[in-house]
Amino acid sequence: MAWLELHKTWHDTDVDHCDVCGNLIIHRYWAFDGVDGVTLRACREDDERLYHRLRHFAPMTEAARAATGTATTARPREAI
Amino acid sequence: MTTIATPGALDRVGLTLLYKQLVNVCDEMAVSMMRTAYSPIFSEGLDFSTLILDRDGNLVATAGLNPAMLGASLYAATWIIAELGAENFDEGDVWIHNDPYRGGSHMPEHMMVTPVYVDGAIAAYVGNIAHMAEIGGMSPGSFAATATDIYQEGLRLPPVRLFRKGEPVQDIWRIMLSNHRTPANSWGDLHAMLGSLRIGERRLRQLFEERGVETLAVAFGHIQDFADTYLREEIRKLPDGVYYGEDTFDDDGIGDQPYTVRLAVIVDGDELIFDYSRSDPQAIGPINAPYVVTLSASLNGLLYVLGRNIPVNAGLNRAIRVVAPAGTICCVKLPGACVGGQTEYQPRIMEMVMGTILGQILPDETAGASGNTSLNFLFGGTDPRTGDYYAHYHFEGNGWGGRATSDGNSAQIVPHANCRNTPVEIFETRWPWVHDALRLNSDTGGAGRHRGGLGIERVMEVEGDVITVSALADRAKRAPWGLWGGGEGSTTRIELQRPGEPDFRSFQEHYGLVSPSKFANVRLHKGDKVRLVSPSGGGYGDPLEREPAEVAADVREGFVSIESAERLYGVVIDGDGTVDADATSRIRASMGSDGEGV
Repeated sequence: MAWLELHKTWHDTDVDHCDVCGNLIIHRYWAFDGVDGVTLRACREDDERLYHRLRHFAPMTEAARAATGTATTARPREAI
Repeated sequence: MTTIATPGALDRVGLTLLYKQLVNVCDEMAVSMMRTAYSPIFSEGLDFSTLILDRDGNLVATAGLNPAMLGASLYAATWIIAELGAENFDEGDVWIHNDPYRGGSHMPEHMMVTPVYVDGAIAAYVGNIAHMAEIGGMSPGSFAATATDIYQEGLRLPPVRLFRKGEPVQDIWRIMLSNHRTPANSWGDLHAMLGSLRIGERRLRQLFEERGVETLAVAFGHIQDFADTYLREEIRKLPDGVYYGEDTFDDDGIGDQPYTVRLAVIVDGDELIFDYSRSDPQAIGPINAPYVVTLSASLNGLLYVLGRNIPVNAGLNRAIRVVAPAGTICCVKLPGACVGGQTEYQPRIMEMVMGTILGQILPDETAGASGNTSLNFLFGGTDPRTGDYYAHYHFEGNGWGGRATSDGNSAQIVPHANCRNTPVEIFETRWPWVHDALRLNSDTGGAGRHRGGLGIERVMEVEGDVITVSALADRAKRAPWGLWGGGEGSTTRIELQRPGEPDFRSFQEHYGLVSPSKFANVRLHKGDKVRLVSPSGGGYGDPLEREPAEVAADVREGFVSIESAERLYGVVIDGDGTVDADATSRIRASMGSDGEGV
């Protein structure tokens, strides 16, 4: 659980979404452990509390990603 | 009673006057844009917003124009200032972007922002957001209903400088104008936006000179605090709990399966959480919404019910959280198509918040569903009168839902957009169409104690040799819902009649399309006729409780037929247009009414 820098090159035109609310992540993110052991990236610190409060949406998020074929933004801890 | 501390130099009255002054500056910026634009979507449609932002990019004031742009107004500038760094905003710089993944609502809407320097430092920013009529992509009008990714929707601009220290960045201009089908229009509309920025900058500079930079900086903060305080007080009046709602879209233009948005609103003291995480995955077609569009829909639905007089600024965004996981229809991920999210998704979700969710708490403050499609109709071609290429983005009025206090409005643009119809005279002057009809669509408003407003029927004939048309609408399969016993409204129809054909038939039937309301790049020829039928609003309350005299008035006006008056309202109208009270009592009794009001 810490603020971490988001490293992006100037030619990377994609954006990074908060794993909790979908909002944009710019420059840094709040990293914390989700219920399934992966590290999640949040746009603000209190999103960790929000995540645990609304835990039901975690599997929905994964299902949504699977259905659209988009890569997950939740990264294993060692990848960060 | 809302109480907030005010800065020393400005008491409560002074703060209110200052806020009104800022809104007036935004209004003046808007008038300038309206009067100097080339495209009717600016000058007639008023599809734009003007903004004053504090030195951190937070929204302080906006003209009361287009609520659909509220989410973008709250985030687009803040995000690009955070991403680029304020040190990259020199005096005379104008930044532009239309990136829906960075705070834009959809790509046709471009945001410009420029810093206002006072004594060598940034004191504020002024900005605007406007829907440009043509930005390239796979279809004229840049509203491709069959787009499957963002690259088919037009030229995507990340934040770039259009002006650097007062000088045009010609490379950017050339790239933009080379990718738009109507560069002369784009040139004019971009300059209308620039002119509006100049006016805002000049007026703000005067204000800073009169009041002082630091005094206004504090005041800007207090204006935002006031909106926050006011909204929290309104939220606190709602009973704590979780309220659910959902709405379903016909299809995404690519397949015929429906897409559902599911929302749980959690009321917790003076805060609200809008949780969209159970919604369907991102669609392949362009009905997805960027995050800011979902934010707009949530806030607008809330403000319609709770906060009609709350100042619209960044303070509104503190008491609410919108949870819209990326990869769902509520928060599109790159490279998802999303041009229809702003015009189809947002009004539907806004009314879901307002009607089906807040209606559970405040039934007298809500309304039945509006037609709630923008019925986007796009076209382009070469005008035989001038030889010039043209393109246009047309949106259509529809019926609004009946509400607790009155019938729904007729022939209005979707409630979240606040835009205007383009008059027939402008339409026919600018583009090679001639109208056969533009009228209210009789007998279609959802029945109710307060009737749903009527949609329109527009019939127009192609005068040019070839016109390429596209459409992006919804509500062709699912009619607008009524509330508290009110009946459904009517659905969307987009039809074509070729010369020699006896009747209109849907584009879907003509071309074997997947969707009845979404298609792209159909080539029409001289003499072809198009009929656009927009949906009517849902009714509010039991139709048997409608005053018979009001039903009779509807019959006289042609809004309701004599047959529907009897079948839906149980009201018998005599040949002279008056109510047959005895027959009405008998019929209403047989339909279950207690006879009250007869």
